[in-house]
Amino acid sequence: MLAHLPRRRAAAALAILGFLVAGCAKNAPQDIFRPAGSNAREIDDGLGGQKYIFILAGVVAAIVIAVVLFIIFKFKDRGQDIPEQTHGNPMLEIGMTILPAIILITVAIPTVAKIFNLAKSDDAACVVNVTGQQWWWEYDYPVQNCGGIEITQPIVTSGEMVIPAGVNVQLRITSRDVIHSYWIPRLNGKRDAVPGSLQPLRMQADQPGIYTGQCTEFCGLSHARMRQAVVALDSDSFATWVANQEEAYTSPTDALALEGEGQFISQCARCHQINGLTNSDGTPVLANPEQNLVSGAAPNLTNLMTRTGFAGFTFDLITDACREKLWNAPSEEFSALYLQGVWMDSPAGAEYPVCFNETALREWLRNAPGMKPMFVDPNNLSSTGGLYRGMPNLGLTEAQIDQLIAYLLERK
Amino acid sequence: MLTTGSKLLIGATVVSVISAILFGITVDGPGATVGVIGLLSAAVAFGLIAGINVYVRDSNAPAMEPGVEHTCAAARQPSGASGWPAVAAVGVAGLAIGAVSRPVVFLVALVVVLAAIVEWMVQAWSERASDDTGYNATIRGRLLHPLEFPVLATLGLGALIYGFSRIMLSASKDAGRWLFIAIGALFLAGAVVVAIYRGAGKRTIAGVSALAAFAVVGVGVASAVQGQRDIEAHPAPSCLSNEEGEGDHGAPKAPSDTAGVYATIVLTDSDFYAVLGNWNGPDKIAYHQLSVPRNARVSLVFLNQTSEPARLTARLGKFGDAAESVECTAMVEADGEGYLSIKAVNVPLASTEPMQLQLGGEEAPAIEIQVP
Repeated sequence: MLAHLPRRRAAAALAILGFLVAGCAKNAPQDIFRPAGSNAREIDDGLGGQKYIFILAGVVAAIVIAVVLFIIFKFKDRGQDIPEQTHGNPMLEIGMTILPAIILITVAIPTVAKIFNLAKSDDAACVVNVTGQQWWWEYDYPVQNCGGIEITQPIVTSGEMVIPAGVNVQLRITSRDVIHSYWIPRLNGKRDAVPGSLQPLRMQADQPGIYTGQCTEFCGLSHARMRQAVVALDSDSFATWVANQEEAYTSPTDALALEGEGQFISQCARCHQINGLTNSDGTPVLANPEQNLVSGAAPNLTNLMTRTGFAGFTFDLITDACREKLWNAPSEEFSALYLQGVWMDSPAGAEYPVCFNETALREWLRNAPGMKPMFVDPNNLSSTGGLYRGMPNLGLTEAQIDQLIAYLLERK
Repeated sequence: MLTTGSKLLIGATVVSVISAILFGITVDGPGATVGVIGLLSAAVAFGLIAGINVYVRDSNAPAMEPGVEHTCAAARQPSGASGWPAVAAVGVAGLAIGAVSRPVVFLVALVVVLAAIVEWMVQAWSERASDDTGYNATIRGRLLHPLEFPVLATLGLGALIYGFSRIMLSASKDAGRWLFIAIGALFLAGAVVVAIYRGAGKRTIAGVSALAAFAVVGVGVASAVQGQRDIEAHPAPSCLSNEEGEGDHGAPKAPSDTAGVYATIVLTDSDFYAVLGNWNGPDKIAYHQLSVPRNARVSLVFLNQTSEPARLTARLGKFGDAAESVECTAMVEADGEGYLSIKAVNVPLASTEPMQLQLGGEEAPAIEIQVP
């Protein structure tokens, strides 16, 4: 069909077709038109829903563009006489005022109702504090009954937030440094994280699965690498996850990992906390990120290997094959698969013998700013009073990295 | 025929192109690309200027019209002496003084020098624009008035405001009130007089206004030299006390901003508890522990639902040799509200003192602060 068109028109048609086809991607984890929870459905469905507004806006846009194009081509200067000049047409002007007003009112009434519905928190049965900083998210779970599961001591994690599926979870979002914005497109809209203020956002996932998002407020150098995920687990698996997070710290028994514990204390514990870790004299090892980082916080690594990503959920802790399997797992299999975490030795039922993405973690320990741009040049920290924005290159030797990896692999 | 200037620019263009080629061939490393781009950019710039220069014949008017250099407006003598060179000289002296004394002097002098250069340049240009002195003044005004008027108005108003503020700061609190009333009354009286006697000329009004402005600025300068009165600093409330102290006077007792509240702390006759902000869920709990993110400033609202005044005190830990971190509201009256912003910088395990919310100096009842 395109062959019959003049070359320019064919090119334009192809370009438009390209734009349209781009919307047909099946593997689009941040697709707002595939809601996976009640809040996202609230945004998507109904008269004030994005789907209908998108169609309505599309129709209006098509009509406006068609009229503009008609006028452009119809009245193109071909040397003809200037048409009769007229001024004012009350009926047309009144109509052109009333029609958009009616359209806007039609859209506004259900939209405002939706805003109020989304702001409700009466049915939220769990609460998670979400704190943003350059360039990662921290989640802490206060002591509570979270959707029927007792949390008996505060839990803190980062990158991916684990919630029980089918439960409305109330997020209380804030920031430690600049303004960020939290967005999981398939579960709800965006919400800014503002320092000193608390912004609520309700989050619910119908089925177990992983739902990803992206910081949507420009927040500095690695804004594009500030990602996040919500992991929904079935109730039993969520209880297992909570119990695992609350387990007491155990020192490694493996010799290499034991050396890694020492390396962690001397190299990493200035900023990163591992709950329960003690010095040789039995005193707790306590991180002091406020003395080293602008944000005053670094990810808590107590249960690092229960997560699937690191460095602001930018890099995978699990191999591509395991990631592919986990992300595409049917909802009934997802929770069990997620709870397996990162493994080196094949657990029962695991399809792959090794799931640990050692290459990425090793490279990160070797030169973190080489993987993710951060303000960590020790010679250029005058503007921050000597504080870093991110993880600097620690200059670790390969032997030290071996020890640290052996130690971190046991943090699950 | 090409002028000398055009030949020079064409030559520079050719040299830049050849240099870029040679640089690209001979130099390796990360600087090579930057160097080639720089030289090619220079070649493009020189080429552009050379083209314009050839087109306008190097602005060589005599080449196009012999003898015009003796008859054109630019050949005339300037109409009068200019004061801008003197201003520029003062500015340059200021630059030298500022370079060895204070940066602010240097910056002010720099602004003076730049302003003098611009004014002098435009004045010189406008005086040679035509034979008509009035027209020359008009085009100068068109260029510079949009800059001069706002700047002068800002400076004038700034001097007035600064002078007035110095007067108010040096006068005692009581005298300041009367002074404010007197100046306001004088201003009103002046406006009434002008409104009633419409015959007053513009010059008279401008003169009186200028005199008043000079008076304000003059007295302001004198007040600044005299220095401001002793201003009593409000002492901070005594957080570990249950008595209303001097620091509680004048302190805000109602939350100015209740949006984004992290938690509401409620004191009743029988309980002291926290309710999480922005959560009205079915599990809305009277918490006796409050989990606070580390190093993130959060805001609390204190509701005193008892019949006695009370103070909410946050003990945020004692770490190492540093003093204990304590923050508190002013004394909140019965059935009143208070506002408190807190930041926990470290975990309770690192503190040698309990981290908790309490009422003034009383350690119980308390709400435990948890920092995960």
